[in-house]
Formats: sequence, C-alpha cells, structure tokens
Amino acid sequence: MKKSIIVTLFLTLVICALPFVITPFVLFMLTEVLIMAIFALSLGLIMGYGGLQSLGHSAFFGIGAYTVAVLSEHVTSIYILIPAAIVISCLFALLTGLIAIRNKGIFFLMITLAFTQMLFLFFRQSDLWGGADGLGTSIKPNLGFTELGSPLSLFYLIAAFFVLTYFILRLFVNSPLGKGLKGVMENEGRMIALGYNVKKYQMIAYVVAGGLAGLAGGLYIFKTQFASPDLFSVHMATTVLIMVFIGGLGTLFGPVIGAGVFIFLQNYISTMTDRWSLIMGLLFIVIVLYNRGGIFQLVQLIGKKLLPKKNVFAHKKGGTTIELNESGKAE
Amino acid sequence: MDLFTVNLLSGLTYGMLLFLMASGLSIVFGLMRIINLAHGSFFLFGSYVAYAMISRGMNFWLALLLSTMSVTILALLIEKFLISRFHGNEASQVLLTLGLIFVIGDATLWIWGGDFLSIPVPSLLDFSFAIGESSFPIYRLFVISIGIICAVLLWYFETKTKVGMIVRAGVDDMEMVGALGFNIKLIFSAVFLFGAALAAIGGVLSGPILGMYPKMEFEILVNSLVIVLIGGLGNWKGAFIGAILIGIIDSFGKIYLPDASVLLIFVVMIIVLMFKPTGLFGRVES
Amino acid sequence: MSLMKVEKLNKSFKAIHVLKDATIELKPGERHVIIGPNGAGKTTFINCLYGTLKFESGDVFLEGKSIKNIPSHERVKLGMARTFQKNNLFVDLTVGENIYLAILSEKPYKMNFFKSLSEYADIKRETEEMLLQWEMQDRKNVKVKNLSYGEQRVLEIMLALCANPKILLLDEPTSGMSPSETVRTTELIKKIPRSVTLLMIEHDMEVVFSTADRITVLHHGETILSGTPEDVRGNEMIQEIYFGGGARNHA
Repeated sequence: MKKSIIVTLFLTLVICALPFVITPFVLFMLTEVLIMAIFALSLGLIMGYGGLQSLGHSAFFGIGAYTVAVLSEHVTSIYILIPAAIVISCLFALLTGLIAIRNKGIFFLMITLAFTQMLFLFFRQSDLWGGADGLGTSIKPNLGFTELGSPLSLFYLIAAFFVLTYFILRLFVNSPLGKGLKGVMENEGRMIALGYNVKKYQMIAYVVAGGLAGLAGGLYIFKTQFASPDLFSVHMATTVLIMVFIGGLGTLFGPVIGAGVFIFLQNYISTMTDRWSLIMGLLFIVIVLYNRGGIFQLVQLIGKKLLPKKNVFAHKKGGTTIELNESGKAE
Repeated sequence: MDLFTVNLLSGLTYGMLLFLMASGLSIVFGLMRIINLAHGSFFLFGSYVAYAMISRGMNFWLALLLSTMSVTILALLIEKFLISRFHGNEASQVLLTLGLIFVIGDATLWIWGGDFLSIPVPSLLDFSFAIGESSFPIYRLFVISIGIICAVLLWYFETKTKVGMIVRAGVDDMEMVGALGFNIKLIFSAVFLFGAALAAIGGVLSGPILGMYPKMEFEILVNSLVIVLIGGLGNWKGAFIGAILIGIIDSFGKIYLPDASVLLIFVVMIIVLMFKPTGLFGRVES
Repeated sequence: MSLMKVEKLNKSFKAIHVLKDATIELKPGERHVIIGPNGAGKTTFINCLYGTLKFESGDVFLEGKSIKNIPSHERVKLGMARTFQKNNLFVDLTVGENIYLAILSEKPYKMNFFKSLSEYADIKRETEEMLLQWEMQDRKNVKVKNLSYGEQRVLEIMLALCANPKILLLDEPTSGMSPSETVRTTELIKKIPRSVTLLMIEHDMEVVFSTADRITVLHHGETILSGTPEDVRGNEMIQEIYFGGGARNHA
C-alpha cells in the first residue's frame, strides 16, 4: 500500500510537470496516450493477470464512448457521465462474461470478437445514434465548479483519471484477489484443485477491465467530441492488443508504455505514408516473432527438453518400482 | 411460397459460401488447435486475384484455378515461415494471423483500391430459371451444388481414405499419430493449405454474388467464427450445419426483421452457447 | 464410522470400461494405499473421487453425505485435497508464492482487494511454518521451475496440505524420484499428522509397505481386495497377478 502510494505520487508529479516542458501538439498527443493507456491497462489486466485473450475489448471502449456522447445532450456533469459510462460497460461485461468465460482460450477470443462485431454492426446500422455517420457532441465536461474547455484543463482531467486507474490497479494486483488472479493465469487447473472458484476470479477481472475500458471510452469523447461505430471495430480491438504486447504482458506499466510508443509511432508514420495499417500489422508480427516467440520460447523449449530426461533417468534408478503392462490403455 | 423458395435458396447460397470458408477454419482448428484469423483474408485475397485476372480478359474457370493456386502458395509461405515456427504455442499463432489480416488487408487496399468491385457471372451460367412468378439465377444454384459437392468430398475423404483416417486420428491424439511414424508437420501443412484453398474457392465464387470491398474479410471471418461456434469447432460437419443455419437465418432475417437482421445470427449464437458451450457438434474436452 | 466411502463406481472412456464397481472405504486417520498394475484405473479412480472426472454410476460419500454432485473446487471446503501424478504447480512463481496461493484459498480475505497480500501477517507465518516442516526454508524465493524434480514433488504435497484437509489424495507422490529423494519424501509423508487421512497411489513397494495401514488392489478397474499389508502379502491371487510379472524383473 505504502509503495503504491509513493509510486502514484511520483507519477502524479511527473504528469503535473509535463505540460510545462512540452509543445501543445505533444500535449494533444499525450492526452490521447493517457486515454489509450487506461484502455490498454484494462486489457493488460485480463490478459497479463487473468490469462484471457480478448479480441473484443473495443466493445467496452465503444460503449463508454457512446454512453457519454448520447447522454451529453442532456447532462454535462462528469459526476453523472463517467459513472454512467463505467456502469453500463460493466453491465455489458457481466452479461457477455456469463457466456464468454465459460469457455477457455480460443473460444473466449472468438466469442468476445463476435460480441464486438455484433455491436459494430448494430451501431453502424441503427438509426438511433447517427448510424454509420457516428454521433457528434459539443460537450464541455462540467466539474461542478468549472467547465473544462481548454486542451490543458482536459489533459489534467484525463491525467487525474489515469493516475487514479493506475493506483487502483496497482492495489488490485498486489491484493489477495489480484494474486489469486495471477495464480489462475499461471495454472488454472491447480487453482481449481486448491479450491478457488476460477471463473469468479476471471469474471471479476473481466468486469473490472470492462468498466475501465468504458471509462477510457468516455474520456475519449471529452477529447474528440465524436463517437463512431469504428470504435467497436476489430481494428480498434487489435490496436489496444498491440499496445499491450509492445509494452509486455504481466506488468502494469507495460501497457502504458505500449500505448505511448504506439500512438507516437502512429502519428509519425501516418504523416509519411498511407500504409499505416500494413506497417502496424508487420510491427505486430515482428513483436510476436521476436518478443514472445524468439528468446522467451527458446528458453522454455530448452527447459522442457531437459526436464523429462531427468525424469526418465530417475525412474531407471528408482528402487523396487513395479511396472506391469497388462492392460495399459486407459490411463 | 415462390418467394419463400427463392429466399431459402438465397440463404443456402450464402450458407455454402460461408461453409467453404468455415470448414477450412474448423478443420485446421481440429488438427492444429489454432484459429487462423487470416482465413477470411484468404477468402478475400482469392476473389481479388480472380478479379484482376478476369478483368484482364481471362476465362472465369481458369481464373478460379489460378487464384486458388496463388492463395495456396501464399498460405504455404505463411505456414512455412510464420506459423510452423510456433508449433504448440497457440497464442502466438493466433496473434500472428491477426497481424496478417492487417498486412493482407492493407496490401489489397493498396493494389485494388477501396471501391466496391465484383466479378461478372461466367457466361456459361449467366441465366435464370423460373420458380413460379419469381426467378432464380442458375449461378447461385451452381454455388449451392459446389458447396454440397465439397461436403460430400470431405465426408468421403474423412471416412474412406487413409489420409483422412490419419487426420481424424490426429484430431483425437496428435502425439499418437506422430508416434505411429507419420510426419505431423507435413499433415499440418497439407491441411492448412487445403483449408486455404477451400477459402479461396469460396472467395472467387462469392465474387459475382457478394462482391469485394475493404474490410470484408472481417465480416466473413466473424460470420465463420459464429458458424463454427454454433456448429462446434474441429470438424466440417459442424461448419456445414452451422453455415446452412446462418445463411438461411440471414436471408429470412433481412426480409422479416430488417432492423434486427444483423443481430439475429448473434442471438442464435448466444442461445446455442448458453445450452451447449461447445456448439451443436462440438466435443467436450476432458 | 468411515470418513469416506466409495460405492460401486463405474467409469468408461468411449468403449473402454475403466472402472467396474470400484469400491473403497476410508477410516479416519488411516493411511490407505491403492496399488495395481499400470492401466488398472488408479488415477481415473482418484480423479472420480475428487470430482475432476464425472462417472456413470456409483456414489462417493464423505462423512455419510453424497458428494458426487459437488464441483471439485468446492470439495476443498469439505476437507479434501489432492496432488497430481504429473507435477501441477505454478512453475513461474516462487516456492513461497506457491504456498501463499495454497494457504490463501482458505482465508476469509481471499477476495479482498486494496490491501496488499504482503500485509497479512498470518499467511506469512503459516508459510514459514510449512517451509520449516518440509525442510524447504532455503528454497522460499526460488522459482519452482528451477527446483529439482523431487523438490517439486514435495511441493505438490505441501500445497495440498495447506488447505488443512481431512483427506489427502496423493497420486504417486514418489514417482520419478531418485532413491534418496524417495526415502526422504517417505519420511516426510509419515510425519503428516494423523488428523489427515491419506489415500495414496503408489508403485514403489517399499514405500507402500512402510506407510500403509490398509491396501486396496485395483485390477482391470475392479477393487479385488482391501486389507492390511499382511492380507495383501498373504493373498495368493494378488501374488499371482501383481507380483507374478514385474517384481521379479526389477528385483
């Protein structure tokens, strides 16, 4: 707890100081980085700590965004908008989680992808909220004592949410619940044998991650003032997945770094060529090839080759081991 | 009643196109335990290549053959240089194929642009027949029969041939097949290429019906995923039943529930998964 | 009064009938060993007892109550724990973290969040005690994948004991161990307090006869005999089918 507070305070200090040393354009980009960092943090939670690979995380981002965009016609108070974005995203996570979390690995990935595509098609087709054209708004977030209009004030608002998210997740991953979640990711079967209700852990992580992604989506509307069905796209879901992978799985700060690197790369490369999508795909492949596959897998492979050998060796030496092969099929 | 028949046949046509795509996806999963997310890209790439050939005056059937071959070569390269490097590491394989979607998708956008394109119906099949007051293009009937022929061939291949037997055993226990002295890597490659070829055929055949446009691969992919989730992963039978179901639901949904039609297949998926988490024909993994 | 009673368990995998009316009874505190040739269905039996596998017919009673419909993760609360034939550990975590996780599963605060796990004193203390009892203090901060195979087997048992079980199911605890590791582990197993009832699968006959109060012989999925070690030694049929082949080759 103490360490978390110190780290968070340090982070706050850095962020507060940043606008004094950077240009307005970098500030503009940094605002986006922080939003995407919250988004990536939430996916990092279920992937790096819950072991759930989701290709549908953009669903929550989109839901949060549309919640704020739709409600902003009636209210501007962030004390209503932000909780609404979080709660509705959590609810969607709860409902889809009931079906998706029953299934493991690749099934989870496919089902989350299907749900996201469902929302994408629905929001694109429905006349309700702008359809394929999207939904614009001119919201100035109301804090109760003031309305935020300037890019700087918006930056600080989003930074505050980012720091809060980071702090809460830090507590979460170090708590008994978070450690249990890590155990689920490391070895699900063993956790079940130890008496943990594994699905419950995954569900909690999934709902928390959904809520945080919804928060990111809501903040995104404050910045862009525009909700589009593309927020639900697989492209969006992949983007955040790549951010998490660039930064590295299983750490909290990884996804934050990943979001930063990705957005700066995207902005830089997009000014030079239209082929960002192609480069992004190649980048992703390279990351998978060398980051997860390369050295890491090599070490694992060597380990796997060594262990069984040792096992066989010990077996031969084993004293009065009795091995009969009368009917040896079922086991 | 005539309209009903026409809708039914339209649904079947779409279903068979999806079947060609989904069966490969499912068989590859059954054997290799990976979902090739770029499978939809094979579908779309196949139809773009065929379009390029046909628009330059090539015969439809030759273009079908050549584009299927070029997709197979593409799949061979992908399997050889990317996927096979991660043997046994499903997560990395899936993520690799996700990256490939963007590479292939953006490359096709680069080459063929973002407009809606379509392949003309081959002149041999360019006529319709009457169903009462309505008429139905013979080309679509041809697509339906190709789908059914493929299903029959898959059934024959799986149950009557030695290679089919090995593949079937491999779905149950890959290690055992390896222990019996069969070359697992070769079987993997062959099945992967076969799946890609099926997707390419589906893509080319869909050219005159669905056309081609950017990001179409996502739609095809997700529909195929829904199909295999409903039908059950790992075998072509689930894909066949699932594809017919989705094709028909989609076709009738557009008529009777136009506002909700895009949601309909997902509703079906949710209902099936609620009662059978492994799909209609899925096996329970122990 | 028996602690656990298993009645006429039947289990098939496709066409293979693995367990045929398998029956067993455990008295509180006893050390009960299941022996039988490879493929006799021993592991399947344990898996069915623990709820890891479902079975077609029969019933499992714990303290007189049927538990066959209770999911395996809830059986820990009823006082059951198990180890696996193949090591099933958190290989990328340290020994200490493995034990934390095992102890945590019994704690009322296991679902808490906000307070850091390292701030709970009781779990720290219990971890140290467990390490001391099993002579693993110096391995606390070693990642499990860097332990020797024998140490990993021991850690298996430690994790299972963390839940304070009434019944502990051990699936070949000494398999794959060197002779010295086997001796050491057997001594540690004997030190497990009698408040824990042991049901064990074991191949090594020295381990079997030095630990067992009762032995059940499983043959082709049937429990053909349950008795004291003397009963088993004295039974001609057992000698014939069990010691007839392999033991001589090995001895």
